[in-house]
Amino acid sequence: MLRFFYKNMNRTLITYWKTNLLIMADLILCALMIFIMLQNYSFALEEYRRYYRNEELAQKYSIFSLYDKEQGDPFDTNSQMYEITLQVKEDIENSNLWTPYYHLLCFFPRSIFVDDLPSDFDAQFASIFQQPPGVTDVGGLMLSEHLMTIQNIRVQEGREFTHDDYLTGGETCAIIMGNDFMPYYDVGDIIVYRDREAEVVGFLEDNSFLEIDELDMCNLDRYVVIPRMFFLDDNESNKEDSFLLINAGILSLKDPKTDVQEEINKITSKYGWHPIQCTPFDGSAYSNTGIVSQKNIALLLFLAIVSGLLCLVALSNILYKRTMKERPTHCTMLLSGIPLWKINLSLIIEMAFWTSIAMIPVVTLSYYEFGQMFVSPLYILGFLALIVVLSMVPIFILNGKTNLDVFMRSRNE
Amino acid sequence: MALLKLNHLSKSYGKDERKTVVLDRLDLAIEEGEMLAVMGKSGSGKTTLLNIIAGIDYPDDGEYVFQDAPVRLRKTSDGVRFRRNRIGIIVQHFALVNDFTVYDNVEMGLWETKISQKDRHIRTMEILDQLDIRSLANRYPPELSGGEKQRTAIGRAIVGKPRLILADEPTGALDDQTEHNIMDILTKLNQDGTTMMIITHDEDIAKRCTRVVKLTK
Repeated sequence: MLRFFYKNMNRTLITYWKTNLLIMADLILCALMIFIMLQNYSFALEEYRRYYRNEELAQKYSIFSLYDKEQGDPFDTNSQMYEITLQVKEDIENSNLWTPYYHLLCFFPRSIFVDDLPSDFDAQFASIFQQPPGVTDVGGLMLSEHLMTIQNIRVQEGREFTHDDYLTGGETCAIIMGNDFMPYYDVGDIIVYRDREAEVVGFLEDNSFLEIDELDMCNLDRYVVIPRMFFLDDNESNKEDSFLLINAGILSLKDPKTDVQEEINKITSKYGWHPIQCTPFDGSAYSNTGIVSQKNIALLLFLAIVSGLLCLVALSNILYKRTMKERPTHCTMLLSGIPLWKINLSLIIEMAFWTSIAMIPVVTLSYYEFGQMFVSPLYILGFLALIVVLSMVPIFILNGKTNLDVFMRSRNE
Repeated sequence: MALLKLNHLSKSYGKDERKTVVLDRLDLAIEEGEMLAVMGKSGSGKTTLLNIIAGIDYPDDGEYVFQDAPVRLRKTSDGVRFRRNRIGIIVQHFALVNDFTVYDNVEMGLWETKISQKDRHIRTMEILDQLDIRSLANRYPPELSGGEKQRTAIGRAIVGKPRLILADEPTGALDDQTEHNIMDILTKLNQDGTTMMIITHDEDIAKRCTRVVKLTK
């Protein structure tokens, strides 16, 4: 019973090789267009959701204090306000409405590191400080407690920071190094800076990133991550922490409906401290970009649909012409006892074969470029299958109208 | 014993003023083992008659009985099922699939049967031998002469051992010598027990049949 399918598909593969090449090229082109557009669509959508959707982004607020230095610096340890500043900091830190975090970029002199550390480790700072290669500082990042958890920065080898690592007053500070330090350091190695010891407790995963603000990311592969400024004394360290939290801190809300400004106002008015301004990470500064981004997403989807329609028209045309040529053969088959549904099914199997072939370049391209499929192959296959099925509808109608009476009366071969 | 009977069979084309009655209350019976020639002028309804018997066209009125069972067909798929293993068809223009070899064209008549691949091969080779076209098994129809093509078409029509062969001008496109050879083959098939109905304009062919029916308008 399967002999017909085998023979018929063999026949059409060879007889209509030019048409088949056209069909294949058409489907491959369509699959690629759909793939590129769906991929860009998914990238754009992800970006859009990440930066511009209020319900996602209103969960984070940056805070900044509006104090007048002429009235006294509240972060000066000698000022009367300093104790209050520490209270404000503590209240913000201990609130159960949010998780606060902050970071600080710092630099370590090259001399405290092993000699064989390549000079290009500090290339980015060389340009900033106009230092010659080889003597430039190495980048460090002080990440407050919870930041690594919130931003999903993970350790590949060794351990993550514990709560104790963030407490001041310890003898030896734990540090975690970026992945590129792995050939030069081991867990347990000690680095000495300003007579203070720091112990390497782990290495970050390759390609770890720190989200600095809404738009900037920092690759951590060549950074040394510290939990506190261990090279400062406790007072200095506390002062820096207070300044950083109140002037550059970020609050990650536990409940997105929290009125952050109101809650912060309650804290500042409680102590008569300076106002603190809260700014949501909702992309309000980029609202125009958000609209453009939204339009781009719609445009990409529209282009994918138009490309699909163009492919549908082309494919339908090619298949229709091929089927017109095939009509006498179909009549002969019907006369020989082969039912029409089998003739149609044979065409469906053939088109399924070409559709699956058309997926190969897409999958290859995606794995070659990205090492994975960002868009599920099933989406592309589904889109392609829809186009193929629609392009076959006229063929089924044409086959359904096959008139053997006319065929019998024809006198030509 | 009658293989098939047509009782008061009518068929017309068109409607109202343009209506053309092709068959008007036709009564006809074809006996088992008979070789019937159907003659008539153009438009007399010969091909219409053949198409109705083959299940390709449907009568407007009357009764069609095949092997004592009434035949009522309304769709192409009904006709395909009805013909399978009952009726083989030979047409003037051969109706071969040009992209299949001679072997495949003949074997095609067995593709919808439930016999094994091995038996299918044996049966196909028997037919190729019987029609003396075994040496052409791997050739394609465009490489064949008219006689070879018609023998291939006959092979496809008889490979499934049908009860009835319907031939519409089977020698219409052939020269005299080839016509003679083809008629020899059809006569031999009839002598072996296959019932046949041949539509022809040719008196010589009609004379080789056991009975002649002439259709008039």
